[in-house]
Amino acid sequence: MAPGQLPEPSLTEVEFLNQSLSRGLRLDGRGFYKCRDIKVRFGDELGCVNVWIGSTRVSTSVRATLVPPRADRPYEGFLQITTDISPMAGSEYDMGGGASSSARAREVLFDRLVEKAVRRTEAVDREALCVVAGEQVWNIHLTVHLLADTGAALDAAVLSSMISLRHFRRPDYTIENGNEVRLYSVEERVPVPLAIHHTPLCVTFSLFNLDRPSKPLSGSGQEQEESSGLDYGNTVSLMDPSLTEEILADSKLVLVLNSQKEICVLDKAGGAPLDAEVLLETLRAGLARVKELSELVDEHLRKDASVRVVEVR
Amino acid sequence: MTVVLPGDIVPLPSSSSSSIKLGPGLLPSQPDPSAASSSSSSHTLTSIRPGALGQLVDGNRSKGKRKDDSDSQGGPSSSRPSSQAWWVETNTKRYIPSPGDSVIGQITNRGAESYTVSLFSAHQTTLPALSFEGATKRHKPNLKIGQLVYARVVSADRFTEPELTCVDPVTGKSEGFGELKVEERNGKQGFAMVWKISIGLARSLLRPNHKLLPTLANHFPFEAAIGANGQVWIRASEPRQVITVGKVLEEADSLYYPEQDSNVFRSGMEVEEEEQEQEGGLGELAEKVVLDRGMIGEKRIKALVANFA
Repeated sequence: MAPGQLPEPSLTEVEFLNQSLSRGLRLDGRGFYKCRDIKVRFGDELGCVNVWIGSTRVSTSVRATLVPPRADRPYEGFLQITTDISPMAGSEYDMGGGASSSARAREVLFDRLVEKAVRRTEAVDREALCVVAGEQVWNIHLTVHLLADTGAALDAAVLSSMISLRHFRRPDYTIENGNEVRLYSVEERVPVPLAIHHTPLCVTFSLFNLDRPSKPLSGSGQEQEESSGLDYGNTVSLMDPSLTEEILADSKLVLVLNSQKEICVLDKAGGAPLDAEVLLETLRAGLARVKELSELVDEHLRKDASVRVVEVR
Repeated sequence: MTVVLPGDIVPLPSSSSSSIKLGPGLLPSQPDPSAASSSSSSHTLTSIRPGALGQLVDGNRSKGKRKDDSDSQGGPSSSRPSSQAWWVETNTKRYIPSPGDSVIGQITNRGAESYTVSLFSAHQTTLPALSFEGATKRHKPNLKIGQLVYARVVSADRFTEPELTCVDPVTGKSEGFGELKVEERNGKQGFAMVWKISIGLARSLLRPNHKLLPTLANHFPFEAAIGANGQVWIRASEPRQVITVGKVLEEADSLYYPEQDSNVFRSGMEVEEEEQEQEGGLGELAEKVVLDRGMIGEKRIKALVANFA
């Protein structure tokens, strides 16, 4: 096994996962749509957030700088996202495998999906980041660190990013003498929150097609139902998958939804075919989950706002 | 128990006759040219990772008796050349192979003479095909890629691939090592799974007097193979039971991990800062952490079992 390559799960794990799923059990005893506990902690700085989903841990921070805008879009600011997966997140992220290693591929996929979920959903109003048209705009720089990956890293990353962006406040400014920008420090004026259009949140599902003949289910043969003739027999979808479930899944479905019941991203990159009804069911479950998550975000932000001092004196 | 940080100098008792074995986390101090004259630099160790300092004298477990290290001169052990072992006890998530450890590895490749085994750490290791009980040139075990084996680390030197064995070199027997397979017991098919835990918990579970798994075994029978590389293989007669063991292990791992205890730790640090009873504050806490690792109360185990099994 070269460094940076994830060892395939052992036969023991593959077999046990299939055996327990066909009995309606998940590896950690949760229900199929039951999620792990979420913990949110705010740092000292505005926009610095740590999120735990189970033991998956993501840390995000935001900073803002003034930069000249692009020539073709003089009224728009920037939202720049940097993701970083340190080898601390798990031995599967150890570097050294080169550009083709699975670690690199996972990192790229992670980066793209965070980008899709946070930037391309236009969660942040970029026109509101304009300071002086054509001359100075805000560049909001969001940094996402994946510190520990025990599954559903993307859910944690998007959740943490959105809490960060809503928690962050940029310095207030005034424009003097036509186009001179004067920034105020935190002591002088209360910093201003970003304009957020909506809060897209991510829900990951791992899908298992239990009756597929290619995967032998030893020891539970009598419990297999007859395949209905369709390619996708008895599909089971697991919300908030653990790392083993994520890796062994026949296909992975990433939904990014908001509390207004809009589907922002639906990503299913490869894997086994999926029944339309299963898709609708997971969507329904996802919407319910996102509703819960949105309430959780609101509550945490409210709680933090009640204890944090951002006012001038 | 003393708490050491990387770079801390550990003074050794000056009995030069004793041979010293270094465990993980310690290195002999580099002779410092400027301070060489003032102190006997040949008799100090430098810690290279943070944790609790442990010591064994003459094979007697005397963990945390660093303060009484005078007894290595005046005690009963003084008559024969004493040997002592030092290490830094700490909990990590990555395994570093060291000889003598029992580990659970996964076959990742097979060759004519040997198997390549992953220990889920930075290194891959070799397991010679003849290192099994009763294996000969003609009759070798046939392991598939992806299978798990329980093996002992024979050698783990620098710059070479660590080597494993599944056989005791003295008796020629497997002594419990070998392929981890689910066999039929009493005509019933069993279920097996491997759970990942922290290295510290794995080491704690390997202590013969650790009560966690025996207590759990009061509720239902199961088999366990504990790998020092943070893998625990569990076999039971029902998947539910296997999952229960997994839940118990997870809970045991979260007792002093991740950071629910940071307040306790912080208060310990303050004690240290005040320079009053350094041994009593942080040291005691460290000892408690090390000795109590993975010790879940019987009631809690019962509750967990009731939840799933």
